[in-house]
Amino acid sequence: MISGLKSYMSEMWEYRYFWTQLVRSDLQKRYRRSILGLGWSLLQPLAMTAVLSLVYSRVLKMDFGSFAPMLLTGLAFWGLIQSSSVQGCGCFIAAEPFIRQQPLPTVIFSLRIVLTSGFHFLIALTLAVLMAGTNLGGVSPALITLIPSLLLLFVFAWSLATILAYCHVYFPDTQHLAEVALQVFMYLTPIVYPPSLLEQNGLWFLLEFNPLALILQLIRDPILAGHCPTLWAYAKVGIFVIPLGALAIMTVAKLERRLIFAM
Amino acid sequence: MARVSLRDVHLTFTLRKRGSTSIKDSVLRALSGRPAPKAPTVEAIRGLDLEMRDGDRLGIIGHNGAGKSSLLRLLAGVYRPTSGKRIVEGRISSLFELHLGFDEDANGWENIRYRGYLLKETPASLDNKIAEIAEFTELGDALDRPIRYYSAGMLVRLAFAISTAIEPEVLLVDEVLAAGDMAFMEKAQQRMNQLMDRASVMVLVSHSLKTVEQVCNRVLWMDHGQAKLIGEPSTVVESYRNFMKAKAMKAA
Repeated sequence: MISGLKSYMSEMWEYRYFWTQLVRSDLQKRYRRSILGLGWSLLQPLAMTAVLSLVYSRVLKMDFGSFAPMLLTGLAFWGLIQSSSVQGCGCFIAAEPFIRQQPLPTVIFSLRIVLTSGFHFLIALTLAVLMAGTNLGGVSPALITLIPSLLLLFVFAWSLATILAYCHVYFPDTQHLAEVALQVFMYLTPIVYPPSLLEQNGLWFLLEFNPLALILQLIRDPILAGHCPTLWAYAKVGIFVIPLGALAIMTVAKLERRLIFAM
Repeated sequence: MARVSLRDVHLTFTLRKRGSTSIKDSVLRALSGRPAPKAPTVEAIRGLDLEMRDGDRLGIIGHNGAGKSSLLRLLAGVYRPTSGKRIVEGRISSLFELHLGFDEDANGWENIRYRGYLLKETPASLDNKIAEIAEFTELGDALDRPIRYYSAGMLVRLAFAISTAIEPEVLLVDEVLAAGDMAFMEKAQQRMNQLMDRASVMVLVSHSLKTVEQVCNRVLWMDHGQAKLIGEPSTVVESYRNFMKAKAMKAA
């Protein structure tokens, strides 16, 4: 098992120039023919943040300055989850000319999606950190905890994209289902409203048993409040991420060799 | 050192239309306890043995659907054998259908990179070869255009130039060369001869018996997924011709 994983990883490494080139082209394609360039990846979350902050800070009587970075982290996070799931569904179909040409480690194609969306996510997140920094009056050392948190998010998104990619080849309704599920979770997760709103109204379980809310909290804590997440908070995320990762590995181990026959 | 070996290899496809299994169907079936309808299968390759070493140039002939292309993909590792053993040692480079291994929206240069990296080249090693590859294609400014605007002949030039520039140890070619024009065919032929001199293994699927006789030193005649005859090009091609003639007479 371990040695199999190791040789799989080394095979991925051998193709590193190939999949990094895929990611690079994906990013270039997005920016090359546009005036705004990099700005595009910010436009959507920024516009949403501006509008929602204005409305909500009035309706919910929230402080605009702290509400805006909270929204921006939420929207950036959601953008990553959404594109990892939806584009993840189609990533093998999109890579069919390569998959039919030679045997390749299939997870490089879900990785491509996560890295491309991850790039946009990181740009928006940096902006949120700066925004929150000006509010809090300085950079908090707690930001260092973002490293393990983002790593967990990466594993989560990659596993999710991989599992969905396989599901989609066998069950083409997967993408529709994923879109519905995403919409449901968008409202169940404190993306565009503060988590306190759920707690105050007795809906704490939506925070405790929702992996997306738990991961988002890991990321928001150091950025918005300047404090480190507790080990318990990490453990709770681990309870979801580790089985998901294991499921992704099992899926690949069982189906990778047979994928071509299902396409 | 290149080596290709197949032992009693079988390849069976289960036919399923893409999108034919919905989650709804699967759930209903599981609930009702009805067994899934048995999907039809096709035996593309039935018990094939093959042994090739450095310097071997194998031509594969046979009628449509005899399993030639499936065999080539099996050698490439794209299809794993349903049963039996496949051993291929050496760097594989393949020329299959024209659009495979290319990104339609990327231009010629980018696709040279994609293909090169798929063949495990590094940016540095590719930098050294890219000018030579571009020159061999004779595509000039067309390399700046997305390859979705390429003609079949242009794609052949591009694919062939890349796949042969990296000195593969095992070269698998599926008929694509036919799409090139005369001048390019000659050039390709030369390049092929050079490659063969460097003692690699080549497998060529072709309907052109003349090409097969010229290029190969062994010929495999496939029929319904089995090896009907394997041996000297002239002998095998001759029997194949006779067989086809007899068949045509019968039909008439």
